[in-house]
Amino acid sequence: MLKKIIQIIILTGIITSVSAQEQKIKTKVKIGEEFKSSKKVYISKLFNSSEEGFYTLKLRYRRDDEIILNKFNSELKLIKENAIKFTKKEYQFTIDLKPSAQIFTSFRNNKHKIHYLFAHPFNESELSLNEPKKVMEIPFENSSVHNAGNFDYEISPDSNKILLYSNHPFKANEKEKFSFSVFDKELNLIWNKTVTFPYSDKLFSLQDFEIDNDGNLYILGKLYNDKVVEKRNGKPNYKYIILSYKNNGNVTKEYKVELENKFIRDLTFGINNQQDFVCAGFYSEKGTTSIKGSYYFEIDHESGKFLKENTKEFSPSFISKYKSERTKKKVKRKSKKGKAPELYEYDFDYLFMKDEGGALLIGEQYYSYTYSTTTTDANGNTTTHWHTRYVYGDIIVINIDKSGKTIWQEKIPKKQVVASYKATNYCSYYPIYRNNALYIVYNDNKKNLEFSEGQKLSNVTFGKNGIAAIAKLDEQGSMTKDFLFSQKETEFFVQPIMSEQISQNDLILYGRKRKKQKFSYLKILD
Amino acid sequence: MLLFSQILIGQNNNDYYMDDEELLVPEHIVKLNITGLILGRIDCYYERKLFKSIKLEAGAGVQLPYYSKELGFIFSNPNNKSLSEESPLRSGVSGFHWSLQVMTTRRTINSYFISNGIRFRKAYYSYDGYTFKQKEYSFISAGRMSIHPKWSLELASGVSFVHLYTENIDLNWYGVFIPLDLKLIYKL
Repeated sequence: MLKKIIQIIILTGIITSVSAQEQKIKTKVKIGEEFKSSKKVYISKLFNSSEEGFYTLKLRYRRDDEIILNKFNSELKLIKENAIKFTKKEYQFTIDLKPSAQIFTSFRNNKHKIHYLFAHPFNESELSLNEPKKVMEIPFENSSVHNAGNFDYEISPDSNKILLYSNHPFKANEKEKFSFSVFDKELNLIWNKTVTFPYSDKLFSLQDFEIDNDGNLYILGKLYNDKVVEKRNGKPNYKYIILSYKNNGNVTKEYKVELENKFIRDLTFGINNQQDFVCAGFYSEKGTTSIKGSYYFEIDHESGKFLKENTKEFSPSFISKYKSERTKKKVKRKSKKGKAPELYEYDFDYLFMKDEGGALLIGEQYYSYTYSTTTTDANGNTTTHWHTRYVYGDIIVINIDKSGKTIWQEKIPKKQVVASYKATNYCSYYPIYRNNALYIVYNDNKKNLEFSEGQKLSNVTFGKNGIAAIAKLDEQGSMTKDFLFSQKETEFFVQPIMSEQISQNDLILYGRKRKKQKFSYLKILD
Repeated sequence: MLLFSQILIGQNNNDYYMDDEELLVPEHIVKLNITGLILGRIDCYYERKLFKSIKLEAGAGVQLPYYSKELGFIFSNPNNKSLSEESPLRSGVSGFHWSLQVMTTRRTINSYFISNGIRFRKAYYSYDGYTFKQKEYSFISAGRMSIHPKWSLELASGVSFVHLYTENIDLNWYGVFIPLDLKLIYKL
């Protein structure tokens, strides 16, 4: 009891001090009560958040026949739990629709040879599922029950249209076949279509699906020319294809996306208010895992013409920004020799489309490496140990204006190197784009708060110096960093990628250390 | 009234979509023990659904004279010092056996099935003019996956307690082993 009182006093003190000390980025943090659950379960979805609280859906690792529903009140306290076991169905996913979420399950009926998908309206008061409605079915005649197709979904930007889709059971050398169903938010079917892609399955790989506010479907795929190799004679051996299905799926169009002699490393696309495609990502000239610059263009949805095409090479000073003197010299030497340096192992993560046009592109460095150490005991026996390190490095942000021009490219320096795969849950970041500024929530080392060019970054820690931090890039691209709270003092170890933005200014953060878990509200007052 | 009838229709439809009882836990299936063949046995089984998820498996087979000892012996207690601690059965024995198993079945991820059951097996062996009898009590867990609409594979393992005896001489041999059976299943 005394321990609990001390904890509450410490916690209250921290929150007060957080709000009392002068903040560079104005935020308010409210950390909830600790709750426990088995190590065998994990939170898969947070949904139906309101002023009264929110709900979570938990799953058991490697099991899909049971879901555990939790209700948290506005004080972030777990107040209700209900476990639901399915006798035959398998849990698929949850779509957070207003006024109520829909929980989807599927059933592979071996008698009918049909894989059914059901939507169960979530019952808030009972913390249960209402009578389901069958929303899709995929036949798997001549195929095993284990190869009965998989379901997935996309939501339109205004959350009023839902796309449910599934691949059909796949056979070697057959062209890939998909079923698409578009629904309104009450899950009334608007249109559906089964599509056989006009390319060989070996050369065409599906990358992304999008649905716009009018219920039109867009599919992004990567098409290799003749063989599945990235480059031929030093040139890209692939192009991206966007397929659109408009007017209830009746009007089909194909758009080719390629950058001359450049390797498109990542392509993300969105649909803007004019229904034109906004495509952005990184490119390389080497065709390896490194990136040389960013690109942005829009494709006119009627003519298929490229608009506002822009590629921007990363400058040597940008590449070596926040890096050691040795790296700076190396980059300088390379660029003097005419060898354009590239950034190593960056992934394109987010594309924020601005209301006025243009976009914000965000990427993060991620890679892993393995090394060995050899020890010899007193008897002369040698043992080799293998170690893996997971590296989550700097974040890069590219700001594009409405004419497609790059306004600025910036880096948020970050060093998150961890030794276990489990610890990667505490790495990476969560972005919030509001009022023309980008906010990044991540875990850091307290020593890095005063970090500036020329200094050495300290690795993230979960000990005494471990903090949850927030970084801000304003409209001009100038960066500010601030402290949110100490993880050790609050016993709140944030898993950034599990965060959920619930309104323009509000975020729910989730933290876990073994069985102990907590939620917190983060309000950006800036 | 209309709403009520719609609910009823909805319920009936859902019942229809979920109706695969006959195939989820098939009424009748036959099995062939593949690992038994390696051990010199030909084992066939017939499985029948008793209730929704409770099944009965009846098996019978012959021991061919190229017996090789059971896999996974972990403990034995011979009371006859002239015999080794291993099972006294040697290559050259032949005989026949039958078994009965009651098991419960449940579905896990992606329509894989897991069964838990209790098995009794009795075997009669002839060797060197003697007739050996063996009683085997086992707790078995099995996982099953479908490889074709009509064909499945089942991997079963657990723990077996064995009592081998003969009435001709004073032999009582006890052992514990871990059975490992891979069975090919055909749904009738």
